[in-house]
Amino acid sequence: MAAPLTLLLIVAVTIRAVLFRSSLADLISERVEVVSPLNAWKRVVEGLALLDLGVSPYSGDVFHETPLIIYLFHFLVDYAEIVFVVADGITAVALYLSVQIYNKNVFRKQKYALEADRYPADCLELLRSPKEMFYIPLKVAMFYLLNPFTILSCVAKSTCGLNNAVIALFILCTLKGSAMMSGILLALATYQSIYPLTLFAPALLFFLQRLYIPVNLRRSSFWCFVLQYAFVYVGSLVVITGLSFFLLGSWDFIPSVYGFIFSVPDLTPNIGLFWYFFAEMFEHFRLFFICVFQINIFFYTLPLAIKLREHPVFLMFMQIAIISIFKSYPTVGDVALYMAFLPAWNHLYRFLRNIFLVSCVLLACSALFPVLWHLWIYAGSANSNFYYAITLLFNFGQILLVSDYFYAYLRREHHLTHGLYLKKKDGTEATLVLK
Amino acid sequence: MAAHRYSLSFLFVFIFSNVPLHCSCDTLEQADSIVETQRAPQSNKATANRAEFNERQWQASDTELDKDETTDSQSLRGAAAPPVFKDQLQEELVIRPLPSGDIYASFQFRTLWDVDFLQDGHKVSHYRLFPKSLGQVLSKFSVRELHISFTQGFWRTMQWGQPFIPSPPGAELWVWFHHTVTDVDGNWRELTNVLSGIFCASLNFIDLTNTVQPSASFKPLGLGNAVHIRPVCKDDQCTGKAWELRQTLNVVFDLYTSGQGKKEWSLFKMFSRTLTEACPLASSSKVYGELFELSPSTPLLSQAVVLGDRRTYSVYDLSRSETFGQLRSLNLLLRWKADSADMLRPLLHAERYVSGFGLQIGEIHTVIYNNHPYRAFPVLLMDSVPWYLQIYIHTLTVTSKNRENKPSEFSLQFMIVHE
Repeated sequence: MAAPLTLLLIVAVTIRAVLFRSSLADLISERVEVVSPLNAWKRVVEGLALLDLGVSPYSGDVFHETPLIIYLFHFLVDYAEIVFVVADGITAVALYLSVQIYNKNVFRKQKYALEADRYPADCLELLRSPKEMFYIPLKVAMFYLLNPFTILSCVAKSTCGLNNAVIALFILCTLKGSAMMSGILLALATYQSIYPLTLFAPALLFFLQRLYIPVNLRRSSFWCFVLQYAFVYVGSLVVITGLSFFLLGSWDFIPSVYGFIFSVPDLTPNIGLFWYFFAEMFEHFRLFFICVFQINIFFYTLPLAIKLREHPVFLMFMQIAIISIFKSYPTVGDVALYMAFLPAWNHLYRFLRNIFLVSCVLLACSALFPVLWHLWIYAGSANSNFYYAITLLFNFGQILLVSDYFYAYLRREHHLTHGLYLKKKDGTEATLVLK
Repeated sequence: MAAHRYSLSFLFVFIFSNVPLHCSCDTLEQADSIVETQRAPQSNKATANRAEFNERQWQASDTELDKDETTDSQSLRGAAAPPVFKDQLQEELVIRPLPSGDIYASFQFRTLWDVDFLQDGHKVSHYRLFPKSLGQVLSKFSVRELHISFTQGFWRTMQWGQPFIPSPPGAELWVWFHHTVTDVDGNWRELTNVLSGIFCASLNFIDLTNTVQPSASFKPLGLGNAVHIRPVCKDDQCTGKAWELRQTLNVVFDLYTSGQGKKEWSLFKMFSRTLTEACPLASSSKVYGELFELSPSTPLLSQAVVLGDRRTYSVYDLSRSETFGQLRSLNLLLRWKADSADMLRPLLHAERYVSGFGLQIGEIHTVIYNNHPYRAFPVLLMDSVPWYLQIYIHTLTVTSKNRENKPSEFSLQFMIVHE
């Protein structure tokens, strides 16, 4: 499988290189759907310029990336394009390997369950075969690399590509079973933008499952492992933050980066839900709604973790999707990350109910975003309501996609335990409803 | 009212007050604005004595004040011990035609007061000519130098030349505090609020978001070199400090002659009144008209070098009753000479424009012109950008003669915006 992957990488690099050299690169880096105040390349360059002038890069409310990024680009600013292409490549390869390992795990578990005769007789068609699973890792890598969202994000040199690389490496290390690396990479991802904090739960569940530690709050083995993992995670987070402090020389970056992510002062339009709400809101209620919106992201972790405790990888997918939809400054790069996982759930296709609607909505919205932006900002014949309508529709499409896959996954699990053709007590056909 | 319509195209009020520090008198001679004197080429015998007397008055400007003082005190010595006032007021009006056909009238009222506000334990309570409201403000906030200007309209430098005192549209306030002030920001905030009450202008909206503390430009004019400010000493030997309050009103009249051949103005047409007397409190009161056809004519002439441009003015001294003539009113009639408009192009001139389209991105271009034939000047540009205009520092490019240039000194200051 190395050859097709290499070919895919070459094609992807070629596309990105061509776009970098074209005049579209400048146009794309201005688009608000692709860059946000958090990860725009222009702001990184501005931060570097301020650093060269001797002023703190966080003064003036322009730069909101972490100090490690600025010091990374302090040395690599001339090779920025290569950095982002390499980051995309790393993400694709990490996802490829992760899904490969995941498929192996899935197949192994399926084999054991078959041998233990745990499946009802009529659901054998739901079982997955190595033949169908063979090309899934390549498809995942392809879905990531050739996704127009990813290409746009890379050409715009949005640091979202670097965040995605870190998260992909974290997933790889988790699936490989290395708790130490997983903790460190999760800390790095959390340090970049706070929301990957919620990925602590699925990673923990995966390790517990892998080490055959039952999730029982009374058992000491459970707490032992949890504390170990938490220690690695929190420790690396403290180390990375301390390192940033020593590099920068002040704690400026904490209100500028994390305060910025949480309090959303910059209401530049993007594909997220925050900007319009907070532009229309009275000052009096702002704190309340900030809390509501931010809690919304962290809130789904616990119920999902309880429901999907046997399936930590799917939980990870759900969590990444929720982060991408509800974070304060989402961009299409974040959307591309969870969309890359969709080929891994190919077997759920027969249970998806809204896939046609969702794909139409997402395609239409992606096409309408630049149109309505132009009408609003340049032609002056539309206003922010039009753009926000498309934003709402886009997010609705994403939520529908995620919940559809959730339903399909749970339904398949249900069928695997209770049989494919479900009957109610009186013998008529039953339909499965997600409640 | 005649058939002429005229509108104010520029109105500018400038008030400043400074305390000149202990200075040596050779800094008084400023290259740019020295009032030199010259006797009028034709003066008949009847006025010979007067001319001599005037000559004494028209010597170099640094001694102008104390000459007035000595003449005042001399003339007063005959009387029986009159009170010697420590303050005096001088008023003058300069009328000058602009090359584009407009008339530039500049009023200046200078109050000089020999007192020290900032002296400890010596509270000033008796105000005569110096306004009490300003004096109390200056002493309360320990102000060393204050400039405030209100401008409506836009000075067209390229068409009109340099104004006597340049100022931007809107309101501008410069203050230098005494070094004993510890909380400059708090003082500044209170001062802007008090001044907004005094002048009925919304200066209280000048807060930290549009205030700058320049580090390199804008040195206190009492110490430095500038066009419109002269450090003033109490007397010839500069033995002490005195306060100088200079209030200026600059107006540009835009007269429509609606097709009539000759352009002529008079004081009555501009201000709808004539001058009948000088201010009784003023120690000197003069009207300067730039030398073109003036009537009534006057034997008094003076030359001044303003911004490197030597011009001749006719002087009307309002403290003399003969200026007002038979009718006891002075109505200056000025006729426009078609070829007399040779404006000296301003040496340095700046323009700014915005480029780009749409609401998202744009550029601001500031163009500075140097019109000197052979000399190059170092230019210090101070720009104050409001917080809602997000400017990227790394996009700053300086081009001169189509070649990329780098500023030799660049300093950046961010003001904290409290949301």
